[in-house]
Amino acid sequence: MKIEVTPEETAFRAEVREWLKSNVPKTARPFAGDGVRDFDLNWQRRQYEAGWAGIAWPEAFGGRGASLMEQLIWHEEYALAGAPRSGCCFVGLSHAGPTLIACGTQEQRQHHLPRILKGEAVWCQGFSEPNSGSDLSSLSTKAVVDGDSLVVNGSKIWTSYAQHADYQELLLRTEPGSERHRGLSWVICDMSAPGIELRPIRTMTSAEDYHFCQVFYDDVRIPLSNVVGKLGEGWATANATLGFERGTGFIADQIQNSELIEMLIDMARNRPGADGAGSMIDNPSIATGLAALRADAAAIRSMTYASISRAGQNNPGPEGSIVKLIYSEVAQRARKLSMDILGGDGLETTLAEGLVFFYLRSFASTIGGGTSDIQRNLIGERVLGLPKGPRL
Amino acid sequence: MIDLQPSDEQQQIIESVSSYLADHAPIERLTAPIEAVVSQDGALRHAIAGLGVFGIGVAEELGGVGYGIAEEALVAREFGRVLLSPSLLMGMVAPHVALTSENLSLAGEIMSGETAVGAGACITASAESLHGDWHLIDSRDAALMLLCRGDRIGLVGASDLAERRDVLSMDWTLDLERTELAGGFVGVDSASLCRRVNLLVAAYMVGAAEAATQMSVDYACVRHQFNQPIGSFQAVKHRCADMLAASVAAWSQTAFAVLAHADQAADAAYQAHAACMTSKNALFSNGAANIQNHGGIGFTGEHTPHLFVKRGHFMDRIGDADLTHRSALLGKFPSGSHSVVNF
Repeated sequence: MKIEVTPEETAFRAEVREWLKSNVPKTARPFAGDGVRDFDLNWQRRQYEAGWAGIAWPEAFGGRGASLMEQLIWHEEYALAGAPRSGCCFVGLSHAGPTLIACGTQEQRQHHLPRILKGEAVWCQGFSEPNSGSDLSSLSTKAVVDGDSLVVNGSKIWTSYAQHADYQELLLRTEPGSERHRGLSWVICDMSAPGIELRPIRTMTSAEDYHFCQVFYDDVRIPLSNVVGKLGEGWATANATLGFERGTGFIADQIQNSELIEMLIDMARNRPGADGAGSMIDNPSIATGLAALRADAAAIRSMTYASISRAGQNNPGPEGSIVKLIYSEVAQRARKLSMDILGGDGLETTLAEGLVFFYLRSFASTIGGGTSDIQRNLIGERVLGLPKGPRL
Repeated sequence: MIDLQPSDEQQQIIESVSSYLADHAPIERLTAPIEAVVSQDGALRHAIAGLGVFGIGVAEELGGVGYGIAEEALVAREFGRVLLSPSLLMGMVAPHVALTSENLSLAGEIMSGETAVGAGACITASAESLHGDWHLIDSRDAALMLLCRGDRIGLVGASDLAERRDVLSMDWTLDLERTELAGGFVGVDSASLCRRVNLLVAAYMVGAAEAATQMSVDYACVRHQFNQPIGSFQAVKHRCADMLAASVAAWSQTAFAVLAHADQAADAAYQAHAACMTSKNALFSNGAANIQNHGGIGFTGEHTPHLFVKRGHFMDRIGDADLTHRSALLGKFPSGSHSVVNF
């Protein structure tokens, strides 16, 4: 147990801070709409030109090759500088790219990795289906081999940024009659291929927010050379990058949550109390809620530090589920409290700098990326060793 | 670099303490018939002193083992797992208090186990003088009582305490008295030592919260209903997962706060308040969940689950109470600056 800051780490932090200070976009990222793609790609290009793109990617693949500690510093400073989220570059940088690094062919890597890093291509994910959510391995979108192509039919859903994407990482059932995790393949799908249709889905956050899409595939042809890993072994490919960043990619979100809590404290001090007298923070239930959030935010950060410590000694385990579980519920509590502090103003989406928008979006945090219910199953079965529930 | 994992050397300390406790103070000792004498943990004092525990965080030139608060916290966590008497936990702090008045011989007597220390729990007392009403936990044979309130701490002699009387303890495995410190002794002002008490209490509570989790997991694997182990039901499994999550959060924060304290970091007080809140929350919520997971058995006084909840309430009164941490975490600190380690 120790905390030691090396001169190299201090210097790295100063360098990161300096660069971010003069390069973080001055304009706010659009919440939704067509401006999102350009904004996210421009920001990615800027990072690439300065050598920060792919902070956790190995240098051999064009990344920064930063150590875990450097990644931590990068993400901390990134959040403190108010830098925009990676947005529609997220899947490419944190999932598809690392998967190609782990399992791709030379040609696949050479074509795609530079485009992801340079902010030239947007990727989306195609895993979930209308009938395969938490139970992912029941997926049924199928592809049959026809000559040197796969022919895909079916549908994927909850595909964030599908309308902006150039490529999709697609998990398909390529062996007819196969079941569960057998007979699946991980495939690069060109989103401009004929036969793909998108149905944007409006989310609960605002009437204009079509964050994700349902994607339909009608005899879509994908070259067999786009299979990543082996045909029929897509489950292994999909799992190859689990824990790729060992939780460091998550730090910026956590810090933004801490900043939100600090902002709420200021807001509660400055807004008049519900009865017009005093300020909101005089209300004991609001004060207690804010204090508990501060403590929880501190604990989440310490948990991330602990998981980085563990990663240094062992392989990262399913403990990441614990951080995700707690973080998503704390973030939701913070957002709910922001509505209490906003009082009547909370009924108007346009007021209060997006607080209402993000409150509504926080309902997704216990659903997306594996529901809290599934996280609890993973913790119960893989960490605590409790007996498995019924499997059909 | 940040490393919250115990080193190999620290792991050896953990193992030597936990294996001693497993042999001599298993949690089952607390389920003996209630006619049995309570608070037998005092009998272990000399043996525990022999492990070097009471001087583990005291410098070698002062007669201690020469480690620091990190090792004390690791020991406190092991104490918490078996709900060892809080008076033995205070035995780790007491030598530091004796050394504030450069009383080396007293510190030595405490470290050797020769002098027993009792644990005071504040009812209402002044943070300026420690004067007021106190509970004494497992302190019958103690020559000195460790009292801590706000930033003030002291080892008060048994003879300085007036009107000691027995009261019925909510936790019948702990001996409880009520007393008054009316005047005279005022202790010393030391935010740092008081924080040490708070942090060791936090570590103890995490250990207890972890033990409650393990107890639930073990039970959920052997107890069958509807022809399957109850741990296969999500209702039970998810409660266990939440127990683990609460324990992991609490330990991570406590370990971080302990290191911040050792490094005298600018945000050490902030981190300690957060550690105390998360560890208290973990023990109270895990204690309740453990009773729920055990069903009717959990509600009985014949098994140990109820003791974790009760111990939470006792530990909450040693050092700062949960309510105090909450108001301190909000009131004393301005917004901002707590989101990054002080590099």
